Amino acid sequence: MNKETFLEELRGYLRILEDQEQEDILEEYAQHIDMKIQKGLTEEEAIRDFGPMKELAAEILEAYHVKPEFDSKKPAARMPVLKGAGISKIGTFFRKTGSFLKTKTKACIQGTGRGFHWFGRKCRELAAWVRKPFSGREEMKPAVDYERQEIEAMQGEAGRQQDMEERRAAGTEPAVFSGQKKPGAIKQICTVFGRGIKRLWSWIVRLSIWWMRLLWNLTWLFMSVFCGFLAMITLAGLGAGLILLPQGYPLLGILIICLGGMLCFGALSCGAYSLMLRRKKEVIERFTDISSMAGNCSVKGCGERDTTELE
Amino acid sequence: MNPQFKKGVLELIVLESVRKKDMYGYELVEDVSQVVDVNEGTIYPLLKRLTNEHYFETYLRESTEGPPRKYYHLTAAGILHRDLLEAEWEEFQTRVSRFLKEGKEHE
Repeated sequence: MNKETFLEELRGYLRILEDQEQEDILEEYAQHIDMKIQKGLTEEEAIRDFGPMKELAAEILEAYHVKPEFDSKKPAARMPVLKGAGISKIGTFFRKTGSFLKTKTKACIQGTGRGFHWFGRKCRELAAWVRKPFSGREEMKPAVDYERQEIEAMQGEAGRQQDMEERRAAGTEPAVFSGQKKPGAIKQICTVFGRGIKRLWSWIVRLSIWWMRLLWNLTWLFMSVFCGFLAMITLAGLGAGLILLPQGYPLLGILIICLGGMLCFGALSCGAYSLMLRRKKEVIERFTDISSMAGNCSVKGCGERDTTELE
Repeated sequence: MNPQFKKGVLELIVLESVRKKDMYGYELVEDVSQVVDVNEGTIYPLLKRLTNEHYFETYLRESTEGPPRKYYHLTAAGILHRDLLEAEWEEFQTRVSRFLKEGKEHE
């Protein structure tokens, strides 16, 4: 066995490790063999000193806390071992560029995804802040929502990564040898990008709804205050008229107008106020939620106490 | 020598070797091989693990012959870990030898 085939075969066992880690450790072995050759040993002898390949690979994987038996049934199935050092070198070059591209694109995608996520969170925070004056105690809810979404997103991420690992392990992922062509990576880009756009879109919709709601509320608040103000003025006029009328001033017409205006503006003010959007219902729901949770807790606590007493 | 013995104490030997001076992989393997006869291939994974656990730092240095070499340097955490291992080893060793001595006195 020469150096190239040894390294190729060892790489086959170490496929579970990250590309960078594989390169790192294989470089050490390559250098070790080179030094041995400098000392006057043949390639064969230098490699024989490492002992059985399988044990060596198991030893390396153990250092990474990976179960050695994982995936060891199909060591070099990923690519055929190439004959001749020249071709093999070309292969290594392609693989290196491939892995480089892969890590870079992955980092890029993750960065973009995070950017969208951040933008979404900021929008939501802004929306919550805008909403705050109109809905007393509801700031808590978006936070909970957000946490849940975060967790879901994380789970999704982990799932996807696991999926990738599995696919890689099963060898269904395209041979890394032809580094530039990667349908898996493109698909991943599409899904991540699509997901990002979807999320962004939902944020935009939500944000615009919040803005519309705010605008609506502000309009009616303004109307209500304005009409209330007018009602107050007419009320004052009415009062003044009522005082001045017995003194002989001819103010009966104005008095009637003031009375009508007061009633009218008062009604308009109440109407406008009632048109403002509120969320009393949800608040009530949340209260019942909390109380039921508290109930559960207390029940659980009782149960625990019971068991301890039994013990 | 019993391979299990070697395996346990190899980490301490490697840490001590790098404490004396920064070394590159092959140099270290040779240094360790003078103390315990061990499969050379098994030292690299150990180096890798200790690096991942931040007991070693690595840096590249040009060499007159061949490509640049990766040197290993013991970090502060590495020194602490080494001292801990040494203390453990001392205690373990004294206990075992005391036990063996007692066994001989009984005979």
